[in-house]
Amino acid sequence: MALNKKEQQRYKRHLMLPQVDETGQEKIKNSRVLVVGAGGLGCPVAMQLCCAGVGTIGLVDFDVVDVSNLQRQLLYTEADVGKSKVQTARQRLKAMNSEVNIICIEDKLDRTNATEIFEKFDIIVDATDNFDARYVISDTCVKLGKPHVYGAIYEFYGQVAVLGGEGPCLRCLQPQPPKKDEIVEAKDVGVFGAIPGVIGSLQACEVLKIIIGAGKTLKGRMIFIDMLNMTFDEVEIPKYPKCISCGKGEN
Amino acid sequence: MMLNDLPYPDWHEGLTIQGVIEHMNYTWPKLVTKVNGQLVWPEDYGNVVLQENDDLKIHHLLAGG
Repeated sequence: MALNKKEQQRYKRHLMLPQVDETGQEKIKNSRVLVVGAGGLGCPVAMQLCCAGVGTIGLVDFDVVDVSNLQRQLLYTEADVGKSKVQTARQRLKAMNSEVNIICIEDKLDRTNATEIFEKFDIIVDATDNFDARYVISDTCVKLGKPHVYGAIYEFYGQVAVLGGEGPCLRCLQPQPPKKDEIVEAKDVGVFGAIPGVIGSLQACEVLKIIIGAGKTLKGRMIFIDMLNMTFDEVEIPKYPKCISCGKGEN
Repeated sequence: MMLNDLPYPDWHEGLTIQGVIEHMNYTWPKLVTKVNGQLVWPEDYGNVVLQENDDLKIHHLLAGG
């Protein structure tokens, strides 16, 4: 669908970029992006995609807003404590850009519902807070051939990668998730408030680059950011031949 | 040998990535390691012998959001 006059005005600063222009903005408008998790990472991802004019944004989260979320989860206010995250997020996002279609999926993502949910979207953004969900997302993205835009945070640290599709996938980095007794729950660790905003914005940037086909994405690469010392590192992720998801390994 | 941009004082002949992980007492359940810029798969941590001039990076694989 082509851009109307109002949209040409709204996205003027995008249209000035040769990497985006009207063709790219139309692609953004016609895209469908799923954001799994409406917390620290999910909020900035959804806000950036909404502002950029992504036509349909899906939000998956079963949680309600807690007062301890307000230190970093940018879509929520004090008045939202106790309310559904995805419904509240939808209201805020519609206020930012009424033309964007927001689909709320108020459910916990698992292996029984992931395929059905993912099928309706072009790109999957991983803004979850646990390894179990991340492996479900990775395996489902490989199965459906969809890009998996990975973002994760802890204390002052963050990571971003583009996985999925034909691989490499999360299992190429680590074949199995950690055992339950090896994990500290997300709610029990500290997060510096500005960190999810940085990592979520990088995830949104990768999503938009994938949609318009611009530049070099993080496909098959992971970047590591230490925001306490402001240092950056990156690694290329080759496909793991024995990967049980995207390789020839046996599950 | 360098570990995460700092000299690693306990390098010795035959030292492996697994040896460094144990010596440094890394307890994080999932790591991402690279030697001289190349990713090393977890199954090779015990096989990759580090040379005196190698550059080893060990990152935690994060899952928080």
